[in-house]
Amino acid sequence: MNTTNHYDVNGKPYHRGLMLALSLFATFAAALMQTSLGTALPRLMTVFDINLSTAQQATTWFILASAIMVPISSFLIKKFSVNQLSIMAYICLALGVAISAFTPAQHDMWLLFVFGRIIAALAVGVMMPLLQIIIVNIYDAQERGTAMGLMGLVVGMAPALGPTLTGWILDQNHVIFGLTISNSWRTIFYLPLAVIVIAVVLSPFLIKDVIKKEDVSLDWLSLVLSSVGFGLFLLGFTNVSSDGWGDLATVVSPIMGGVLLIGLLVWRQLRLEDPFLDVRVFKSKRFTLTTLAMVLSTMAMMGVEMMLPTYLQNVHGLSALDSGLTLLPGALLMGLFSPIAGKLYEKAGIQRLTIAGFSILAIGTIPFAFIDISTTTLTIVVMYALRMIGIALVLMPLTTEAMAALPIEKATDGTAVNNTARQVASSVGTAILTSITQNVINQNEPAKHLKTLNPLKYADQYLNASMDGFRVAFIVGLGFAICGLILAFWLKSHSQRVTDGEGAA
Amino acid sequence: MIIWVIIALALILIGTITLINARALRWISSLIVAGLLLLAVGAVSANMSSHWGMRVETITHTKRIYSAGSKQSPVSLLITKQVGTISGRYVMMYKTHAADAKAAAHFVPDTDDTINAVKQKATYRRRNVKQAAVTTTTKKWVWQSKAAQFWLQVGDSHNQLISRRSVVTVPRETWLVLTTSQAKRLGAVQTKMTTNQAQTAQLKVVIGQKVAQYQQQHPTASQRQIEQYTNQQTAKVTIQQLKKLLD
Repeated sequence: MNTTNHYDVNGKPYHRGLMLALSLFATFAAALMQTSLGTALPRLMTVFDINLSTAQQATTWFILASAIMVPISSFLIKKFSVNQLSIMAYICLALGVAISAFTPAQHDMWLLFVFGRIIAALAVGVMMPLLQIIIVNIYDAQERGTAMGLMGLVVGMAPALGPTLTGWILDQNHVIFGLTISNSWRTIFYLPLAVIVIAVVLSPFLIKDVIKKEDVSLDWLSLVLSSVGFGLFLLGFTNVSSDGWGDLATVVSPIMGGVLLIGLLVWRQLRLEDPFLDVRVFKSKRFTLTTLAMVLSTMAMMGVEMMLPTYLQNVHGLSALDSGLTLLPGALLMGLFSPIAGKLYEKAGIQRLTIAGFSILAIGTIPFAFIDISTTTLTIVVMYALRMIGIALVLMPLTTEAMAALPIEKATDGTAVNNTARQVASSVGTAILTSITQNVINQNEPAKHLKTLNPLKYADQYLNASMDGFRVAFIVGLGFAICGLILAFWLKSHSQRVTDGEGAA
Repeated sequence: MIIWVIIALALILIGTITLINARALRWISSLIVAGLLLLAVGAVSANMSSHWGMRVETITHTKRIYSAGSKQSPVSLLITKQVGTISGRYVMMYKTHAADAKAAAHFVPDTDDTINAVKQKATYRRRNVKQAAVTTTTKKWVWQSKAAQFWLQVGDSHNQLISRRSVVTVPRETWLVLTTSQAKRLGAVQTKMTTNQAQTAQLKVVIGQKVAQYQQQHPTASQRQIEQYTNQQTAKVTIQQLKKLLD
């Protein structure tokens, strides 16, 4: 990557590599915050004297707050300069993380802790699209692949690392280079906080205005429709795993209401001259197909990523840390292959890369369809790692391809739409797989009275019912990968488009 | 080995699809490698789902066991607790060596290892045998051949437990099988029996009559045989008495 002779919109030179590195580090710390509390919930329950469902608010509200911000990011990126928005987002994140980190450990202070999480989530929701739009603007389409590959570390690897890192922190005190890292729950926040504070200090010098500001006015109705619509939609899907698909109050109504409001939002956007979120980007077939393939890969990734820890903990009796460690090689390999995938994208184009990625993903998922109570942990480590390589090959290249499908002036809207699609896919994929698993378990689980009559037979039958549930969920995960593979044949690489006379959009 | 084969084939497949530009060569080589990768993954799946490449090994062994009660007592005890109410699976207390000071609980399901706990079952039976013993039949998966192990082993799949059935057999006449609640009441019942002088005297009379009858039927019986017979009858009569009192 060339790092000299680059000028921002004001004609001032800047260091492209350093700007990317700083944005990557800050966003990586932000992405860690998304999933880092998963394994800390039992500790938070003790510290704040709260039950599990209250503790889960720390994650649920975070997901909702960040998801609501993604569509709004398009307006914010147009309205503010990159430098201003980055600094605001980093400060907001630092503030949110600090509030949670320094919340007094008392029962009545829990709301303050959740408030800190929401503030941090608002920043995270903007930082992800902001990083993407920075990459799209500072790299040409031909050299974007590798930079977007590095973004894969943030999108794919950080959420996978979060729970393991937390498990490692909480396990015991660690001494690294003579520095003691306490096993307090507060340490979970200190490490990202340190990174973000450094980012706040350096960003005035390194983050430059690489996108021209637009004189956009905020359409308040669109803002409300977007926030409430996506908020309700995702809230409904988040509740599926605990309440099932049939719960009118917590699942059906929010999803229906969300769909209705999102429908109204889309309708309004098509009529606005200067839309809040330009959904016309879907008019580009190339953008739509690649976004759809990205949605399938995200659903395949998130669903299995959420189901495997449950399988490892409930069936194999592994601790949260050990189940995290089992999935760690996969997360690290994804990090390793993400930039390689970027290079391969630049060399081979999207079609060949996605065929390779979805093939590896599908083949790596096959053994999960035969998973058993006696499946060895090593088999899971290797097959999961294979899957993650497959995902690394498709996830960011598909995003890069989607962005390349749009003219640069539509990049901001494309980024917001693309990131929203990823958020929705992640929530919907997880909801589908967890609910399928739970449904199959409910159908096949033994009668409750067997627990007293013959507890071991009950345990045996329950384990078998759980395995049926997991197998069906993994078969659905395999289905996502196969659909992705079929779709990959419709994606055309640049050379093919030129031959077909389409040209780049 | 299969793991390395899968990793290598996956990397080769990525290479053939993305790095070979000649269309025909790319397709042919990719299809071959993908086919091989599918075969390798299929082999792992077949091993996971139906233990392809493995066979069942059955091992049976029998070991003598000793009373859970005092060595001085004429009655030997096996204390049992059913897991659940109709499971036919029991946790049992007995000594594994004659010299053991205390009896230990055996076949307690390991709640931390449910997978293996559900594969194990222990029960007891009363038979006309001389000594109490536990017979354990273990079935496990072992590799069919060294080659199968070399190619297919992933992690610790050798000696994976299929099932373990343990049957404790106790002599019908000299062993008393008690539930844990009966065992708790046993001390009080025994004290009651020994302090009830009329009952003790009656017991001695009954045993005395039986021994006299034995001597009449076996006039050549040695002193040791008579002693053995006396112990056996004492145990039998005591068991009958205890059963009445404990039921």
